[in-house]
Amino acid sequence: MSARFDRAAVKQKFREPGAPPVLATSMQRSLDHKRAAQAGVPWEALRDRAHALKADAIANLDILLEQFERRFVERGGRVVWARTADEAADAFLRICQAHGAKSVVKGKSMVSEELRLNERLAAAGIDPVETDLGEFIVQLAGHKPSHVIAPAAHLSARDVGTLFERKLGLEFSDDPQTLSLAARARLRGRYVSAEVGMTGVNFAVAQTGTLIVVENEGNGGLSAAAPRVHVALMGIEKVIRRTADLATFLPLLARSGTGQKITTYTHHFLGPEAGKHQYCIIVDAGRTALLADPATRESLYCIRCGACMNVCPVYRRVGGGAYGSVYPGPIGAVVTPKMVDPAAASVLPFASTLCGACKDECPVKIDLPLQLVHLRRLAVDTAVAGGLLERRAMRMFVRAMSDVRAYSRAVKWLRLTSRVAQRSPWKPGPLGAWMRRRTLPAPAGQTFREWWGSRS
Amino acid sequence: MTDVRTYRRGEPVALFVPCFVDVFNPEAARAVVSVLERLAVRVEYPSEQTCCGQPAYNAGHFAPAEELADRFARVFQDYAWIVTPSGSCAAMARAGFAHLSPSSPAASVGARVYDFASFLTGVLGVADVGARFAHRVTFHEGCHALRELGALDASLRLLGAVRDLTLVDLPLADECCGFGGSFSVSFDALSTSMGEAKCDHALSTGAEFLVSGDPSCLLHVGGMLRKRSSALKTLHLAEVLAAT
Amino acid sequence: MVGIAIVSADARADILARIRAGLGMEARAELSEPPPIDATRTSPDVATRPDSCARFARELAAVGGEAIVLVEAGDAALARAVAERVARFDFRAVAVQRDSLALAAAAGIPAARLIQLSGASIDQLERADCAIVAAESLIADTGSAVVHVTAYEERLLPYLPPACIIVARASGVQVGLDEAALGAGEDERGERVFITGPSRTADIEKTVVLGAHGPGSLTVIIAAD
Repeated sequence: MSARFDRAAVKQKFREPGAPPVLATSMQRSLDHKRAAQAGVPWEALRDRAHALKADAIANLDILLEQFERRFVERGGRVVWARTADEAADAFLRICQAHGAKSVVKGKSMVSEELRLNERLAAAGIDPVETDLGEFIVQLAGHKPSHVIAPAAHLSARDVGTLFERKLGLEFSDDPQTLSLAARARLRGRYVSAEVGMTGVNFAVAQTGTLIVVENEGNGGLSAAAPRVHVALMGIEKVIRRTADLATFLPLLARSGTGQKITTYTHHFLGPEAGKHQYCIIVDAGRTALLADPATRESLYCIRCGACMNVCPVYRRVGGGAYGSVYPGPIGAVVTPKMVDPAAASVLPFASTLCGACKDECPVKIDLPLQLVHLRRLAVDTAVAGGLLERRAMRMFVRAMSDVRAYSRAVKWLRLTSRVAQRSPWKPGPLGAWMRRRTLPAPAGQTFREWWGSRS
Repeated sequence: MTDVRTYRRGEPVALFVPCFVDVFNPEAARAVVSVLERLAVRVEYPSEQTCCGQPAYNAGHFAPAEELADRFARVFQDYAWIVTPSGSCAAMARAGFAHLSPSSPAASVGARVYDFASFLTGVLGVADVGARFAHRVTFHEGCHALRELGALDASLRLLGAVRDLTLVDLPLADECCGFGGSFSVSFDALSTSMGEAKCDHALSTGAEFLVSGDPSCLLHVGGMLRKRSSALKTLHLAEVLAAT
Repeated sequence: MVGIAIVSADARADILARIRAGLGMEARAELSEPPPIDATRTSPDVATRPDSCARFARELAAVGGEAIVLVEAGDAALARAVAERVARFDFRAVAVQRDSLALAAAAGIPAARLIQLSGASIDQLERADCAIVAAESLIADTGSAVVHVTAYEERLLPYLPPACIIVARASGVQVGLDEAALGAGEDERGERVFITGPSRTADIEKTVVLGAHGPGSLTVIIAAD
């Protein structure tokens, strides 16, 4: 049941980037909002602080999780631990069955995507109802979310209008207001009829055993409050030490995600009131593999704001669907190989210019390009990437660069082939790929080395 | 980039010229020599030099990269100051060498490598190098120089001091041009899509020259501009600063 | 509690063991020294309360909400302001949180326009066109109201009706999002929610639309001390 990574399909999508133009426009808009919102606060100090707080939380993860569990149970909640996505989905289904659920209203959660919860629920005869507008659209379209906070970022208002016309029998509109309110009307009755409500978790506070969920639409609040059972899904990395730490995280998350000072709703779930049940499913699903490698541990600091994908020139061009993973963009390229499938290591970490724009935007200062290079290295070392030809080419390259006479011969060869290639209609290999859409400059009559030699 | 060390007059400065500059863009390296000598700096070119190892490092081949980093360190070990016209090679030496092996000789030699603009403003403390360039110019800083070296301010200060030069802002200046070394071949369509955007933005400025401190960006974007038979020419920052 | 076994002790032990192995540690109970709680504020200080109220109103307006700062002190003035608003927007089914401040604020609303919350079914709540809830405190820097709802029916109030009136006391206005505002160590049940403006979405082309699932209209009425 666990997702496998389709290496060939993903590679193809990166070779023929096909994201619709609306994606780049929306991403630039998000980025502009973020940058406007981070002016006027001590942004760098907040980032450093958030990084330190996450480093501390991850370094004490075992104890903090146990502490969280204890306090959460004291509040009347129940904790379920799940090693894998499948185990977590099984647990979710058992909870639904125990409470006789026929439908589940769902707030936004990326972990739910890891679990393929909708498929699992549907297979068990339980109706999964996505309530976040973006998730609702994506579910209706039969797509996967293409962005961690804007699941329908790949669809234009026109696309959504056509979808609503076709699937909901509504009159066509491409007005976001009309479309959003149509979805609202559609979902109203679902909250109160569902037996189980699901939310994700943004932060789990060890000190208090409370769950923090941030959102703007109010669907998360309704999903948690209206059904008699609330199930929260969280990755193990979501636990933080203290409530006070939220003073750092909340402003960073809201500004980075949507350019807000704070989200419209910050829910602190304090344990079930009378007549209510609350569960928290704590999911590993590959996270401990990221933890075990000190070089990728930092990726667990991620607070899922989406800023790294908003700014990424590759993500903007290929779209979230191309990554073949629940988590797209730079953070997806970093976490997917270890969390999901090592096969991803041969493609995702390589599909980047290492421009570092993501690192600059990351509110918790994850060094994403450094991790991409590290994953490239692991891929080469474990022969997941860098085949025989590439290794041979690399050896030849190093040999040519290890000795000045060899270097001079290589330079001569390069000058010659580039001259020939410029005239030849047949352009094979890497040079050909390069020259289909670019020209090479004519090699200078004299290399710098020759010029320097002639000067002294 | 500012430095805690200070450059004393008369100290030799080693020039590192990466292979593709040696072959395709030697003018950039010659311009570096010309500007430094104009400022009475003694430039030396260690003839044993070849490559910093960046292509191997970026491709994940760490063992070959380390070999070349060590070699680089041996060739340049006697120099306190090393300057290169390539922002990405400077970033490789300063950050990549340390990542390969934090306490290696290569890491300590790497820390003495400067991109040209940072060396002028941060080490020599010069912004006006006496250049004159009566043209409309737009500037693209390569990603490594921009983000890892923080060289943008230095570049803009240097260009700002050039007589008769008109600097036009490049839209979305901080977006990558799409070169990315082997990325430009493995993901050709992505690379050129990013390059097209850079070309469009540069052309929209109405500038005569697209200038950069990174010759690899220029190789890529310049190659695309030539394919379009565009009148917009590319120049290395050093070539602008060498003009009088 | 539900009788079916949901918890797997193995999974718990395995995950904790993997974490400890990953961190290169043995089982231990002691936390390392935490980073100090620091006072990096996200906003400049607002010194006096009138400033705080004005700041709160400005921030709330910026996100599409409205703040009404009363000049006249006392619960009667608050009740008048609320009744006036209910009449002006012709709310006919108002649901009120069972909280002393909220009830005092609703005192001027004609009984025919109120929905009795005790024993109310969800269907009745769905009929409500306005909710009145009380804020424990307000955060000036972000325009947020801190609302604590403890009973099942009350928990729906901030979200379900299309309009929401939040009442607060001027003495409850705090400057920024610090530890006091976040309320550490509470032992209540239910939910504490920071509400900052009307419900909104930007999921279609990043265009902001108000009233996504929660109320499209949000008013905070601040009673003078």
